[in-house]
Amino acid sequence: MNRIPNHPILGEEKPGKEVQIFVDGRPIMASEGEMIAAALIANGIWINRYTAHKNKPRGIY
Amino acid sequence: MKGSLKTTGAPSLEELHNSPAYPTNEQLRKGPIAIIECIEEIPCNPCEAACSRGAITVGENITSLPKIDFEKCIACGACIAACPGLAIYIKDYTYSDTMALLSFPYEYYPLPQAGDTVQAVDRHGKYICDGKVIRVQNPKSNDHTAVITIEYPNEYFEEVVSIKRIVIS
Amino acid sequence: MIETELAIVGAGPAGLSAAIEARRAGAEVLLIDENSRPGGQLFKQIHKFFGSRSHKAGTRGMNIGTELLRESKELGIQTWLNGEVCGIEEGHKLWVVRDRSRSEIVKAKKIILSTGATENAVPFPGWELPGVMGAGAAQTMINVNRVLPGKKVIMLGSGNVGVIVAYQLLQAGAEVVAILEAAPKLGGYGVHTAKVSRAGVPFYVSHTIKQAFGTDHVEAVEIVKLDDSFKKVPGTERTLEVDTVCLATGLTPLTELAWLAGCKFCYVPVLGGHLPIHDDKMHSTQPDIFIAGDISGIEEASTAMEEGKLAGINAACELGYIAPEEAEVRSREIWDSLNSLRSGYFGQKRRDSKVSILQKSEELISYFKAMII
Repeated sequence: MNRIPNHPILGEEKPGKEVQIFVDGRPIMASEGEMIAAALIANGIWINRYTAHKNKPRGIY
Repeated sequence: MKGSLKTTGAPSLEELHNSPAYPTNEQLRKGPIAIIECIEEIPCNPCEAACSRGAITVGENITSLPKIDFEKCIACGACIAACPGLAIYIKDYTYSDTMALLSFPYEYYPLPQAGDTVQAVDRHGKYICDGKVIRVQNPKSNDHTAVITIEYPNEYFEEVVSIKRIVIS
Repeated sequence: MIETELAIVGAGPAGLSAAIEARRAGAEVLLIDENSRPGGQLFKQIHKFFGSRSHKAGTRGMNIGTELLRESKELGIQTWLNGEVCGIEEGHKLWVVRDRSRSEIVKAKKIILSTGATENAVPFPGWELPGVMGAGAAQTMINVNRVLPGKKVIMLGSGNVGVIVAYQLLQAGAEVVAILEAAPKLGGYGVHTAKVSRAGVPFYVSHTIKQAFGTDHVEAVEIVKLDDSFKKVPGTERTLEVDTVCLATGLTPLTELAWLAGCKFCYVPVLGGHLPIHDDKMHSTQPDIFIAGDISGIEEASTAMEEGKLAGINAACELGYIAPEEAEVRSREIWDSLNSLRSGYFGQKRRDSKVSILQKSEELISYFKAMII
């Protein structure tokens, strides 16, 4: 998990409602209402697609 | 410009000694005082208002460099957390025969605890010596800028300015 | 079609400040933002701001954001979130796409464009790999979404954005392997570079990234020294192991709506490139259209808020809610405040550039006046 539960300025993260979402058929846990890109990174999913011609991975930028 | 603020990121001792706020060697070793490492003209003056003794002056022009009147400074530390640049700390050369005291701002998680042994570092984050945490202050009014006080061997008096981040694995 | 007296595009520090001033004066205000949350970039600014007390110095950006939202709520400012302004048509009509599903036309007597800026990227082989991202994107991830985009980060660019985000990555628990700067001198405030340096982060001036390596993700970067004319020095390459590359290589004003509205532009590299020419009331060259914040030149949130106030007060004045004499007095106070923010080693260049824009505006006005005569 790549979440930041404790932070010197922002404090402890108040846990939101956990929801299950499916990414390419695989279930992952996300926090309700959060940005999908954040949920993916939190679960270690970096590649959002492969390019059409050269099949190269692409992520958020 | 070798070893200067604009090439290495941290001010050199020469640059500091040439800035108006930095104490002379004599003032530095006389007792507890506030030290401001602010050598660039940026528009900023909260340190001035933070000092109830009127020891810190920026003046009408808010980009002027701060100055400290060391006669008025009582090293209360109110300026430490007030400085948005985290550029102020308190040092006391006279703390004991062998140890000096340093109070500095710290905004990382987790905070050290009183009694902990910590790694004291210089302006480039280089380990200099071990230090012992005397107290940790983090009142609400500091708005999450904790003030850590450590004691450390006074032979490293001028170079030590902070501690290594505590990393939880 | 919906009619309003003042439409403000962008609810960041400039737009919110403008809305608050104009609404307080009595104008009917509609504030539109494409995001689901107002505040622009303020809520990821978790550091204490500089300035003087009147600029809210010593307060963290996110808390300034909360304060502005509280004020705008108290004043009952009508706010459309998830509203993308896609065009400006004749007669000050804004084409707004709401909730990505329906179009709405807003006809406004006055318009303030406070659309902000976008991050610049620097291309190098491997720059498209997952793990290469804008410093602002990383900042949103750590401070807004509470997600760490990487554990070993290299920062390209040592301006305030680069050093502040590097510091905030450390606060979030990441390791910052290095900060690179193409110029021979570091760009950001010394107090920022010093606090990152104390944390043990090395700075490399006259350096850039030659390429990034990795198959599915960044695994390493090759850095290289630059000579005085910014050319790569062969033989100085070295490889650093990182999993994230953050690009803090400047911002460009988001000016599309000003172009569409027919505003005249000037080119000012110090302030981020092409900018709408404006006068000291933040009035563009188009009647009834004002600008404020990064769209009028890349600066800081503190200057954006002051410019927003200027635009809000002067728009309200043109709408008849503030007497011209009063607007002038208040504008002068804001200019004093802006001038103090734009002074010293860092600010003077921006101040000089702003003066040159105001002069261009005056030249244009006298040019058109001469044509009419």
